[in-house]
Amino acid sequence: MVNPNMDIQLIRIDDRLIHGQVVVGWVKALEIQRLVVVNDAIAANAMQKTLMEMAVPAGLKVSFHSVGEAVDACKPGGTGERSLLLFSNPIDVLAFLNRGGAVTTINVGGMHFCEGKRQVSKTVCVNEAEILAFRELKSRGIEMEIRAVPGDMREPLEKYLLEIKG
Amino acid sequence: MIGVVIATHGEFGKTLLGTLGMILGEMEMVQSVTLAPEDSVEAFRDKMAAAVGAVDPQGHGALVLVDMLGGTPFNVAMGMTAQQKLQVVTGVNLPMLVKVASHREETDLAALAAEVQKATRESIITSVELFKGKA
Repeated sequence: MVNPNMDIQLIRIDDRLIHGQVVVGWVKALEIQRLVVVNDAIAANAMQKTLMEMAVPAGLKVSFHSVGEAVDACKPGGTGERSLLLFSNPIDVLAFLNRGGAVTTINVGGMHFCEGKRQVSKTVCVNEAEILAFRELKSRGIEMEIRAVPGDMREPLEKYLLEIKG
Repeated sequence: MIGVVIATHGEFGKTLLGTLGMILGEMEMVQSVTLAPEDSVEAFRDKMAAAVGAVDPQGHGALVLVDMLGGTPFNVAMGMTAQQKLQVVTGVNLPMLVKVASHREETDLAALAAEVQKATRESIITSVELFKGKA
């Protein structure tokens, strides 16, 4: 099912995907009507989708797309549902952008999985592939901030990830 | 006796258990699991698996009390229901723990979850209601 044009309020990278900070923090602050999970593995997993649907309070809609489908499903249009796009990593965001997805700024909410990766801030760990993706996104003029919840201070990603500094 | 795991963002559950101890003394077969801000989902899942294993070594079924719907503790607990016998109740608070602690003879996990939910809902009372009865 193709969604009508979305009013994309935020594109967030968060490897916890749908969780407290998103459901309580961002959804309320931005009056989000729909969460859109963009992730190949989850889009293909019925059980995961069911569990995530259970995690969302009544009245908040959620949809799931692979990175490939998401470009058509998530056309921005300003008058559609206020939507928050959730990605688990920057490589997927870059793939989405390369296929024609609309990305202007990215909120880096959390990349908590640290094994084999470098910790660059309290809640962000990155590996080489992710650093490359962030660098490419930066070179396309995309602003990226680290901010777990709306009330936190906006910290530019390049403050912590020096490899992507201009 | 059904084993209990309390799983929350931060040390909320651990603190609640401490407070329960002040009222009812030490509760048996209970573990609290803390989601630290820097925990990955995988790391938290490992903590949860260890806690469930500790309170329910035989796999008869455990009651998992979490802080809220949709948080990572809830998400991970629900994800575990495919592989383990678990029932999850959200909105853990002190009256909920008191109810569980005074109901350890219940051996039917689904029934326990339902009773705990009912008792916890009924535990929320306002002064408005209380004064109404005394007009």
